Amino acid sequence: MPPQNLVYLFAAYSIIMVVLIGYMLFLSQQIGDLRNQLTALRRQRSEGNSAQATHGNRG
Amino acid sequence: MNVRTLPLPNERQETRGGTLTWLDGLLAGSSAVGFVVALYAAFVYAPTEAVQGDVQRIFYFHVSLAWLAYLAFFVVFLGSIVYLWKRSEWWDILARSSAEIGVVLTTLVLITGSLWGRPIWGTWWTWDARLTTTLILWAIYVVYLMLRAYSSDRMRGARYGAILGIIGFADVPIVQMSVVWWRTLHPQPVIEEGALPPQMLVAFMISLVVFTVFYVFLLRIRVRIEWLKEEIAQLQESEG
Repeated sequence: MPPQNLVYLFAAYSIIMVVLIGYMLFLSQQIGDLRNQLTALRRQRSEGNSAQATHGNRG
Repeated sequence: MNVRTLPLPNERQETRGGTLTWLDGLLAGSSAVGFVVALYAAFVYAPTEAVQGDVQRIFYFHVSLAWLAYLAFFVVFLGSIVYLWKRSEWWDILARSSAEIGVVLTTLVLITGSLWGRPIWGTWWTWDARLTTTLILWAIYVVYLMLRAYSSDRMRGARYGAILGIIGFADVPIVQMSVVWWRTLHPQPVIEEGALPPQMLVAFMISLVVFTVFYVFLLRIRVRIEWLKEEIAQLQESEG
């Protein structure tokens, strides 16, 4: 096989690895962002509930 | 002391999109080790093909990716049928998650096929039956993902997506049989007909098993993302 054909072989395997690793990183970043968003929402709701409870006790 | 840094009781709740489990760790670790073994098998263990030379080694990952794409779309098909039957959100999430992975895998099949075709056929692309039906398969599931992403009514989007997921799967057997039904540049099936030398078959089976484990890992992660999105949407709705 002419040596230049090896370029296609290495390009194919490199692209597979880069795309799969990139996709995994994309998914892990998405999970991280969503978890932070969920934590913030829960914190917000919890604070809202505490404020309501305090307001109710005073009332 | 900053009391805001203390975890609130609600933050400790286990979610369906919760933390990674030992099974995820096992799948990720097995995939990483498996890929090293699969690369060794493809580049060192498997003999060089007499006619095409080393470039034929693209086969091991290219065909494994194609088979896993079929599996991913079969999961979409199955998930869509069960969703329409039971209206269970879990099956819809499974179908949507598998469709995205299937599109990534099919994209890689098209790219690696093109890189293999250039030195062997002398062209990057030809409107050959196998290549064209694979491109159509890719397009069907890209449309599926767009339908799911841009649908304003979640339930309607899930219903239409399920219908497309079922109809779209009809292209998978067409892709598989295209090399038998039509005259194509693409090689005839060698694995099903037992025409592959034993060492090449072993190298292929290793990469197929590794990609299957990796697919299961990706699917679990992708499903978790969808559950997290659902939980956030529900919380936002309840906040009103």
